[in-house]
Amino acid sequence: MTYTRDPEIAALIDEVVSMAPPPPELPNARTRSRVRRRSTLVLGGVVLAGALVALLIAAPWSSGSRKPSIIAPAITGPEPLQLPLLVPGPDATIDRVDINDVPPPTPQDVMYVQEYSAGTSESGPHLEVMTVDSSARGKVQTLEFLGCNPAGDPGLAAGHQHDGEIISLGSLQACLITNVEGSLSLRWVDTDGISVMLRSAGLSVDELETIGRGVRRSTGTQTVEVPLLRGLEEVAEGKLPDGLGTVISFHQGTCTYDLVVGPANPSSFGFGEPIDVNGAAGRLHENVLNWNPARGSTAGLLGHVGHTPDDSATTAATECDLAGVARQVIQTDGATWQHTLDALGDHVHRASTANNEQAPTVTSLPLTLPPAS
Amino acid sequence: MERQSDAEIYSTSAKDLVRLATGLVGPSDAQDVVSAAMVRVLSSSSWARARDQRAYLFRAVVNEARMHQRSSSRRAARERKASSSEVVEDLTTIDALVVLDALSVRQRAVLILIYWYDQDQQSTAEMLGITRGAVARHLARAHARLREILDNDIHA
Repeated sequence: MTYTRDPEIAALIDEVVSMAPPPPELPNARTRSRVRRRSTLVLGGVVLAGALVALLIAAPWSSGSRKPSIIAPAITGPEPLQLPLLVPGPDATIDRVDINDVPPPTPQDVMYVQEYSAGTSESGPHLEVMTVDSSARGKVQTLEFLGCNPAGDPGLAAGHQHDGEIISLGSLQACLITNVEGSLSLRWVDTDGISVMLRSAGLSVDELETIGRGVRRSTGTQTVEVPLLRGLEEVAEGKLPDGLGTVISFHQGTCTYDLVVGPANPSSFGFGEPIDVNGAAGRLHENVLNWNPARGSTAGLLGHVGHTPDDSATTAATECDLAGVARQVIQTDGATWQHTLDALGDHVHRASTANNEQAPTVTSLPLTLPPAS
Repeated sequence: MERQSDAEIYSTSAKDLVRLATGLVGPSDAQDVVSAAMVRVLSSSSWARARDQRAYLFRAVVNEARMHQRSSSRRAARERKASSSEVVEDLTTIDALVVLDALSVRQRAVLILIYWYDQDQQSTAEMLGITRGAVARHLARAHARLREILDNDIHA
């Protein structure tokens, strides 16, 4: 990332550096050997102290009858986030996980993308370098997303993404899934955002690496805010009112779909239009499962992630028919969550039938439905 | 290429090291930091194997400055605690050192290497032994913080 030199900051640095005193003499050999001797003494002291502590711990009087007989289990780190999934089959049902039960992301969930050098390609502006800092995860800040230049998806190319346009997580996900071999242009200004976003997008490290190999240096860009991230973060953290936030996971064949469902109060409707989700502004796109508020619904589907067990984006795109699921739901006139989810289940059922697979059926949806406005 | 002696390397880099240290800890402690860093470097067994000795020295100064910063902040806290009378610090004069004091040592190091030494992000990363992404992050945060302070100062 190239920063324009800020003249005021440059002057500040000049001023500070100009205060530099003359350099000191190089420390002589005597000083150095004294330091080395001191270091050796300190090291020796530490080793002695450690040995003493070990002896005290091992001594019979220190443990008494409580001689350790059980070896402490090895610390293997927290389990990765696992949402309950359905086993595909005739008796499969849609499972429901209360948002408050979803554990926070673990370090394993955070993606590390290091040193993917950015570049310019013949077909337009492209991805900038990303680095994910796991220690900073959870803080959503600014993100530069320059748009998507899809190689094979005319739906994305037709007016939804342009260079420099702010696009949503759904678009990003669709872009990543449909354009692994194509070009992609996005830039994370602050790496804090990427872990949340990529985790939300359900991308594996392998997928990111695949993407990283295809990226090139971006040209001049502008920093933009992507408020959808904040919305998703708040959903993922269970900040929605009790009983209203829900994560639904279901399985179809080899595909897994995870939906984050939350109440929505759209200020307007349309793909890419801004929405207000319980106070958290966001944007919806056609590849984010959507709802139709025309009948006064206050419910909405916020996120949509589809992936295969091997986390292959290409497989997911071809086999899981992500866009198909999204479009199907969008085309329904669901006035409630129930309706939307029924429609989704119906779609899954029909898609599975077409593939001669056993489809999961929607037998029960123990959701707390928000009152229709 | 023949390896230079320690004295030669130091004599060619000393001014730069002191400038860097001045940016990191201020002029009053810069010499001490450089001296301590040099003692540490010359006593280290890895110094002889260092491929880029200049970068090694820069990194040593930054590390020493970080240690210095930690100990001096602890000392300052102790002194504040021990002080019975209320000391009202004069913060009305926002000079360059006070402004830079709002940044971490790493952020300062990145700023100085990029602004003063005209290094790009990649070479800054190599000099500091961190990733380019980390350099970009430090730079962005340093910019944001400084802009905030400078803008407030202007509006105050």
